[in-house]
Amino acid sequence: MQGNTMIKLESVTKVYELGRGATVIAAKDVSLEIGAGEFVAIVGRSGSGKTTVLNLAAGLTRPTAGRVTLDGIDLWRLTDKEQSRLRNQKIGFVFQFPSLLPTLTVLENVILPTTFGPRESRAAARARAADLLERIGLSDKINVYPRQLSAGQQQRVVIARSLINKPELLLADEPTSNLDEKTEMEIVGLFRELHATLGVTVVLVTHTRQLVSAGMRAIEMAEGRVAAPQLAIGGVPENGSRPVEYAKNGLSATVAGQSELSY
Amino acid sequence: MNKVMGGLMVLFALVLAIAPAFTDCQSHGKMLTTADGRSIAMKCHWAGIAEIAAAVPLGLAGIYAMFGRRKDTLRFAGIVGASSALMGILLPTILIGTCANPSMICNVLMRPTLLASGILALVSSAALIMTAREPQFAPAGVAA
Amino acid sequence: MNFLQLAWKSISGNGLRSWVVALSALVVAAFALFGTLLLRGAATSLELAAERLGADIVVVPDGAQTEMEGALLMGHPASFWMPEENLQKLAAVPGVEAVSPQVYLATLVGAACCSASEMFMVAYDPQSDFTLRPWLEKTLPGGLAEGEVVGGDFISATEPNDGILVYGTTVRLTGNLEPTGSGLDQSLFFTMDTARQLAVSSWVNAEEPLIIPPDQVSAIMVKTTPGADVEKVAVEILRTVPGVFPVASADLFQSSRAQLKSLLNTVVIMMALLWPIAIALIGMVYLMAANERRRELGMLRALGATKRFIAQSLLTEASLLALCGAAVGIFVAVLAIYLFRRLIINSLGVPFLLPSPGSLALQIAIGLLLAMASVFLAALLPAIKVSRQDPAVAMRE
Repeated sequence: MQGNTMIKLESVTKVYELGRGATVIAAKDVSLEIGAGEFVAIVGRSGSGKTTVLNLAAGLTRPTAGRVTLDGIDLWRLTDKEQSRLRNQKIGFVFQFPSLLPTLTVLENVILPTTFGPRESRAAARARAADLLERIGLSDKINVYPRQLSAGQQQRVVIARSLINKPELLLADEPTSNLDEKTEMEIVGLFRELHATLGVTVVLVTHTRQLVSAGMRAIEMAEGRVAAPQLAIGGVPENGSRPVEYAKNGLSATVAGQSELSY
Repeated sequence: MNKVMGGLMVLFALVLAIAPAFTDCQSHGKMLTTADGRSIAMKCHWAGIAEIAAAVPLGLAGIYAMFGRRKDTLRFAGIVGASSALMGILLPTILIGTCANPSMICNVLMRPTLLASGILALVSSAALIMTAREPQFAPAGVAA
Repeated sequence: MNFLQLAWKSISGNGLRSWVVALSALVVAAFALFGTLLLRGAATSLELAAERLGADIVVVPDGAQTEMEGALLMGHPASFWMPEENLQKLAAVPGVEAVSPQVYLATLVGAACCSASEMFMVAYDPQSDFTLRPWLEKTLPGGLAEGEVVGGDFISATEPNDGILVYGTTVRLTGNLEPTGSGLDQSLFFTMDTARQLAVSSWVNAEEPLIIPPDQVSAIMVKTTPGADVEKVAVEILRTVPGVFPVASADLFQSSRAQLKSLLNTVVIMMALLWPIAIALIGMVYLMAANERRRELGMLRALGATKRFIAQSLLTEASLLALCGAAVGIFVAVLAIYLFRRLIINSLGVPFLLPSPGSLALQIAIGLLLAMASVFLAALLPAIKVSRQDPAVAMRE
């Protein structure tokens, strides 16, 4: 898996216009590469441009200058339809804000992205969603509405939703900012586990360095620029699979027994 | 939804109970005079009185629907409301009826008012029953 | 899951906004349908009444034209008289092919309980009649014998053996005519002979005698020769026969037509006010909703929804709401018109006939389309605007 480049930003600048001539430079001449299968954390203070980099990588905002390629595809040469399809099929999103639709049940929320993808049978999508929910330990909450879940449970449902279309890339924008410390560790553990078992590329934006643990590459952002492309905390990145140390966080008893997530 | 429907049911119950007092033939001074000179009320009057018997359970069901939370309470209120509304429709048409002459006040005003309220109350009750159904999404594949 | 289901879920989850939009659609649709049904029903009824009359010109005593129209349209009993010799004078007017007299009588008000309390009675001359015969014959091929009557749609027998008590004498109801929505529905038709017989026996049997002045008639129906200019013949009648007023069938029911016209204007003005207000209101609600949901819509874009999908689902939502609101509004309007038609007839002073199922269906379809088009238009701009925004900006708070 490792070797080819998943995300490539080449001297990308993003300027937001605030109206009345005021502008904000959110990203300044950013160049970075993230390889397929990597687990990368983007760290930095708020306003440092972390989220912008993530949005740029996903094609959610058009760069003012520079080039963004995803798995070798220049994102801004695609039509809206092609770009949307690429996002739908290749990228899983975990947002900072509560992003489940309150009017849909947990199961419906998880299969929501299949609505935008190629045609497939309802039953297949539902079966896949049910499977994912079982793996994150929420199979008994399939028919409840998001408001009936705790914040941690909701975020786990969001993670299940991000995996429904078997993405190659998981983008998480401060996924634990609304959670308490214990739940935070559980969620990060879940990301580690997914990375280990699925080989999915994970980019995690966070402002707390505590989340950046051993064996993780970290990119530090400051004032719209890449301050350190290879911030090493506690060790050199290796093959990146350490599910065992997270399993004890009470995440899920089934993890150890499952060698491969068959989604 | 149940608050709106319950409110409508109470409203229509009030119309059913009160409207006949102002719109039947007797309220406009029309009575039957018998051979011995006594005045007796015509049947539209009695149909109007009987409507109270349909309006009371309809209104109570409406109040239940407004403040009830459990689905089976709401459903029950809907069923009571629908059957009372049906009574409200049947009383001035089939069960008792109104005066024979189509141009008399009870036929021009009372009957249509009662029918309109009855039909709308019936629809509101039906809508209440519909919204109080159990969620029907039983996911395929995880039936267990 | 498709975007229809998604739209429906979003509607049921956003109570107040959905109610406002649906209610606006309801009011527009209900009002539009109520107005058009009323106007068309009245116009149809007027035409039918004029057609039923079957004469090119109706000649009445000068000053009695309003009373005649009130009788024919609203069933208000009327009686007016002019000399029978006018028949010969009218027959002599150039362009007149045939003439036939009619006598209008009023019943005693409240004469018998629970039959039509006010009946308008029309006596005609079977020998010369050309106006009533075509439609009387449909009901009654043999014509009416003495003591027999034909009633409008509302007339029902109150005595045994199809009997109706008129001025103390029981006459036999042999049939009913099709409804017209006008005063003809509560009219009773019989021959001149029956009328005279009723008048004679009323002195003995009735509380109040029926008086038919000798050698007098109420109205004279005139048929013009084919090709003759009806207006010119009417002018000629006005010039040559004193004391009468000719009403050409096209000019019949002028006061009702005027009433109808002012009603139409009211409806048009109300619609002209209501429609833009409704569209503006819905547009505003959608703009607010679109802003409120920016983050949600941006999130959907991130999950792979295209711009087109976002616009489509917002419009579908709006259309669904419009459809529901309009359907309820139309149901209420049709119910109100159907149930309260007699009250409307009485209070507006215009006759009214329910439209045929076909034309009703057409009007309902037009009402639905109108409401949906309004909501669609109102939601179009916000939908396009919100679908074009940058998802990254939309998701930021």
